[in-house]
Amino acid sequence: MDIPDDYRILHLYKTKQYDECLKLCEEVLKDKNDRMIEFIRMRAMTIQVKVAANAYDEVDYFSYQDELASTAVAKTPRPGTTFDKQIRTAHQSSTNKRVSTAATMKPGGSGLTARAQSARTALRSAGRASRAATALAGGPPLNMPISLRFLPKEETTFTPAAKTLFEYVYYCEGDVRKAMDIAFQAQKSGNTSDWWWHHSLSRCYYTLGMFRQADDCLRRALKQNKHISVYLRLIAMYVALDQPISALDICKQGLLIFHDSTPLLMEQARINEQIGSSDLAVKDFRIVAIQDPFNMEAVANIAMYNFYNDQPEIAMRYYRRLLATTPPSSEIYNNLGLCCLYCSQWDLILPCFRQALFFSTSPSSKADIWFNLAHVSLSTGDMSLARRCLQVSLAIFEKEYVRQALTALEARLKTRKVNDGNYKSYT
Amino acid sequence: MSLFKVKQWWSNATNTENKDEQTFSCMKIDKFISHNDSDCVLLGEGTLLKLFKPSLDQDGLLLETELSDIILQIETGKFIGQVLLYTITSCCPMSGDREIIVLHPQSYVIYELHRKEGLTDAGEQNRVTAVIKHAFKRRAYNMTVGPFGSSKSRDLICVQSLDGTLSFFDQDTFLFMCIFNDILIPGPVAYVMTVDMFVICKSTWTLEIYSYQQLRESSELSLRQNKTNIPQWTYNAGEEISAVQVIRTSSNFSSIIALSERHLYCFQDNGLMKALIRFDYTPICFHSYLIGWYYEPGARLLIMVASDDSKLYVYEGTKLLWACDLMMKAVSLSRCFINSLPGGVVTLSLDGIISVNYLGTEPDLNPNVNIVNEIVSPVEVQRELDSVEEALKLIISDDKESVADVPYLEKTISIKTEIGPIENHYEYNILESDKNVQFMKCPLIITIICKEPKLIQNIQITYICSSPFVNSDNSKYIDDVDVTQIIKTDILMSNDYDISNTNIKILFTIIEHTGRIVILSRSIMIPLKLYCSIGEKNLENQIKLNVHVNETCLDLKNIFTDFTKEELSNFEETVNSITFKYKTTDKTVTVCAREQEYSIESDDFPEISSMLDHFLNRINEYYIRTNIGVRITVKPSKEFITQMIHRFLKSIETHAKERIKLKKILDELNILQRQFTAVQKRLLVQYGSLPPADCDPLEFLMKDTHQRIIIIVHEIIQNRNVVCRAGNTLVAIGRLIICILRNSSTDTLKVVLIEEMLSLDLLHDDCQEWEEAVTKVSSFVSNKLLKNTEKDREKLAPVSEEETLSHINLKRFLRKLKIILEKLYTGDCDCDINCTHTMVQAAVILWCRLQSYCDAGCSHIMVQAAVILWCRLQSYYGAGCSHGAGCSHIMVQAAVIKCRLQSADDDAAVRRARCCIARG
Repeated sequence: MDIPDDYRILHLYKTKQYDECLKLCEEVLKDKNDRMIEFIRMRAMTIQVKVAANAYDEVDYFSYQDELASTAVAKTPRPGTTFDKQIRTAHQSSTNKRVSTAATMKPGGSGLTARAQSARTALRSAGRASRAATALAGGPPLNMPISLRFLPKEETTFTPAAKTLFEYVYYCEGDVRKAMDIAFQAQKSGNTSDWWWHHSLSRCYYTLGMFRQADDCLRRALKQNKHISVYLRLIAMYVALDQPISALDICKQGLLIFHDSTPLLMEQARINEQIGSSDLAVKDFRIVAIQDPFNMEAVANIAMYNFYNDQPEIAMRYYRRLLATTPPSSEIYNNLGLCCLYCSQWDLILPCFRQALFFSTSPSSKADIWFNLAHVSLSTGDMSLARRCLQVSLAIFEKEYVRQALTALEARLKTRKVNDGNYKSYT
Repeated sequence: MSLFKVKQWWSNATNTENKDEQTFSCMKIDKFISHNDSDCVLLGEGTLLKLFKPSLDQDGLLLETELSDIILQIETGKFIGQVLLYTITSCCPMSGDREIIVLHPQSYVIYELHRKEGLTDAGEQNRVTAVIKHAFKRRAYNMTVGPFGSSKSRDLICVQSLDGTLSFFDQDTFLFMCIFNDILIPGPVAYVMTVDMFVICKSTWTLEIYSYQQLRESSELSLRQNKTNIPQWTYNAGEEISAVQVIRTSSNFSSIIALSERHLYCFQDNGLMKALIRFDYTPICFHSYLIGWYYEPGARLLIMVASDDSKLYVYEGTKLLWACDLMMKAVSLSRCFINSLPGGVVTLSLDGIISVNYLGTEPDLNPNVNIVNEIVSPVEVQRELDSVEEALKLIISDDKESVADVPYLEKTISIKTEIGPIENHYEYNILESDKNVQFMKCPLIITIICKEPKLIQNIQITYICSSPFVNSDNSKYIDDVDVTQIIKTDILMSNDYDISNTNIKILFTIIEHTGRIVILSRSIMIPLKLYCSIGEKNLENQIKLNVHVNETCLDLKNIFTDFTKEELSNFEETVNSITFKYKTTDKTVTVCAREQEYSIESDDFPEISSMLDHFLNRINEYYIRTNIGVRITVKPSKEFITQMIHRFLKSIETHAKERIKLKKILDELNILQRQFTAVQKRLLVQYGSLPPADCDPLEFLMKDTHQRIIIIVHEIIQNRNVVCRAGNTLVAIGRLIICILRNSSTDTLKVVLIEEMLSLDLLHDDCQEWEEAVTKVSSFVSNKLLKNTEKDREKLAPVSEEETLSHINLKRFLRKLKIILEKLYTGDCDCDINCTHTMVQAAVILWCRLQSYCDAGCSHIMVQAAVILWCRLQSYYGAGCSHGAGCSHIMVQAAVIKCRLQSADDDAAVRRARCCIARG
């Protein structure tokens, strides 16, 4: 006995098989007009785009500066109130040198989580919505007249449909203005005010680069419902505006409501990490690791903290755990290799780095690994091998600190040669 | 991201026929009195109802029956009331057992499960009998059962239809119906027993909780349609709720757990939120359960969540307790108690396979990682490293020899260049060329024969030709070299400017397998036919240039072999003379031969230039072919020289003036562009403002600016063409000057000097900043080489605070050039400075100019220019002059620039640059 199409669509939708669901919707809608199926199709498309566009991730740490935005805030911030690396405390600049010796330590953690850098940068702000829309255009159908058949706001179904319509227009069509229209209408027709509309409007304002209005909306939303995504959105906005102090403040407020909530703690830790107070960051990362032991970013960050805190043995244990629980990657092996170096486990250093080279995919990370290898060979006293490693690193990818290291090394080699000559002639 | 994987304990996946097929399935797990040793699994698959009792030794299938309609949902409960019970007890001993209710699209059926012991060991018999059947009109989506309204006796049934309407039934009687108009897609419905309330998920993405009493009353209200129904409490989740489960957590209250797109909410039945989990994955389904009994104080509420990447997470509160791999995508999760496995995880996968699993605690340490693990002996590695070091040292010290190795390479590679078949070209011209220069083309064929292709990594061929000629492709890159390689490209004429240079230079950059780079170059003449046709003599030719040969003149037909004799004889004239007409400019030039002298006559200098060039080449070729040594001297009259220099300076002036004009327009464009951006910015703010402001005036302004930009751009294109045209004229005359000097003077230094100074190669389509470069060089030449007095120097020195193109600087520049050229032609210059040294310095100046262009972004020209310079420098370098050190300095500079040019697609250039660094 054949299963009726509408049940099949509902089943596919409920079990989140959106591709098949969309295909079937397409077929069914060809020859009949069904409101429910149409809405299911809208939802399915929206969710797919949301996943593709990382719309569930609220914060992106790549500062967004647009020349056209007249609403930009604080062009010359006071020291300590910004993410800008140039303005740093004395404590930071002293550790700066250490960072360069193990430059790939950092991506070890964040690179592994879903918050992959490429995905984040590719789809940000205004580009975010429209890019996602084009990404979808290839797949499902082009005959999408839904938005043309918009419901008049007088109709009774407008209120329940408004949120679906908004998300569809915002994500799939990428039309922020139209989406805002829907939001305004819905707010007017709905008797009670709804935090979700404020939240969504702030998203629109954010996309348009109108941060003040976005901030306003979010505060209003927060008054109605202390939902975690409002907090995250606010943090995101302050991060984008390069105001880490305000963002941290929001984190604190949020944590008062949601004790030990991992997402909020993560944001707080990331911000602390970014502005250079890694002690505070690692505290939060530890709480996160207790709450969610599978959070790779937290574990990697704790490991990194330990490494720079002259506890390579402990760092190594964390990295070994990461190695056991995650798909292998060059960063982990690279960091393990460095830990081995500092723990004097000489037999494991080179195998680790070999493994790292085997897994590395980008020229930049390869160059870093070779740079670290140069560091290893320097500590064994093999100057010519170190020089060779640095040269290989440069040949793969040009990096300023590698160039500096090579210059320094060559200068030293030269003086050594001269000294040798002097010594010989002396004897 | 976990160490662990669930271990499968039992599964119904015995037959693998419909593996890929999507099944429409649902499951329910409960315990029946008749099978009281362990839980039973009810599976609805399409229209099939199956009952499993998982155990290790059997397949566990107790019952399989085909129903009349598809199964939407299966639930269990006590639906038959106690009233009936008395009557049945006598005949049916199983009456205390729970019944099974199956929801079909337009009906529900209540079944009883019967078990009959086998008479022998043959086993037992199970069957279900339908007790109650009830059909309804509205198509159902899901249902929930429970003792609504605190009915002690039996469970009632609530069915949600596709439009969100709730219908309530008792056994087979319809009780009442609630209509909601804000449900577009039916969501989950659940019943909270402790407080007798219903959880309904609306399309406004809110969770609404109504009491049964309220719903019952509202059904009457909705008939009257005058009052809205206010729920007991609501929660606005802001995301669509995909699943709800109610679980009794203490004797007083229950917990409501709701799953949305990325969040999981946990409420107490009075609306207090207990926990909120935010996932960074997409959850599909969840199941919550209690460890311990709800009436015990220490009972723990755990929640299992299955994600779409087949992982299982177990949470207590917001804390993650366990995460493991599920091995398959689960659409439904549950927990079961089986005799030998208390607390198994039951999953229903997409293809309808049920499996009972347990959480294995044996970690699984990345078994599928291929580890580079071959053992290496350090001694061997060290030896290998040493040998590599040795080899590298050899290569570096061998550097000098590599230059001498070029002949060796030339032996292995032979390059033949030829201009394509003339007949074809001729026909082609007849057909299409009427006044339309664009359609003329002639093929250029390069044949590379390489005896040992393995020795060569790759070859890059770069064509350099000057406007109006263009190549169909600027460069060609051959990665795997064969023994014979034939490369064809077409030469076209792109515009109707003066012909400046009739030679095409072809550079071969060959990278050997060792990484050494060798550059070979070839030059080839463009056939006369491509740009000239035979025309009639212009009797008013003003300018005449004589070329003296110490032999009797040849028949001109023998010289211009591009044209056949018949063609030439069509225009036979009394004297031995031929007139050519340029296809580009329609101007004519006449070549006459009288006794020992040829003369080239024309109206203007640019025409003479290319003809002289061509003529000299041809005549040289002829004498080389016939092995007669002759001496050819160009004998320009004094008047000719003064006129020529005058004309040259004039052409420079025109070029400079056109450039100034172009710059003005470009500035205007800049202003307009800024205006456009400003308007856009304003407009954007207006768009965003609330309420939307009036945008029309701004839009009008924007459109107007846009229109003006378009007009300006058209003007720029036109003006640029004019500049290029002037540039071509300049180059043509410049080449004439050099050519005459070369063929009339014996002083090679002079020739080289003037050639370097004018550096006509710099002028290119997009790159017209010739004056700036030559100003510097010329002041250098006039200051250092020609002994000028201090006074003269001051007079001629460019005003530094003004641009080169400014009126005063241009004037001084022209005067300087004039002095230099006149001195050179009168032979009144004595240079006491080492010529190569000068050249190197001149090159440095040129190079600085090039550097400034580099930022302008015309990278391909840069590369070409760099190649030219590079070749020239190489020749100095190879000559072994004492100033080699200076050269290498430039090479390093060149290399740096090239590194910066990495963005250009010119791979070989970059590599060459790297090589330079090594040498430098």
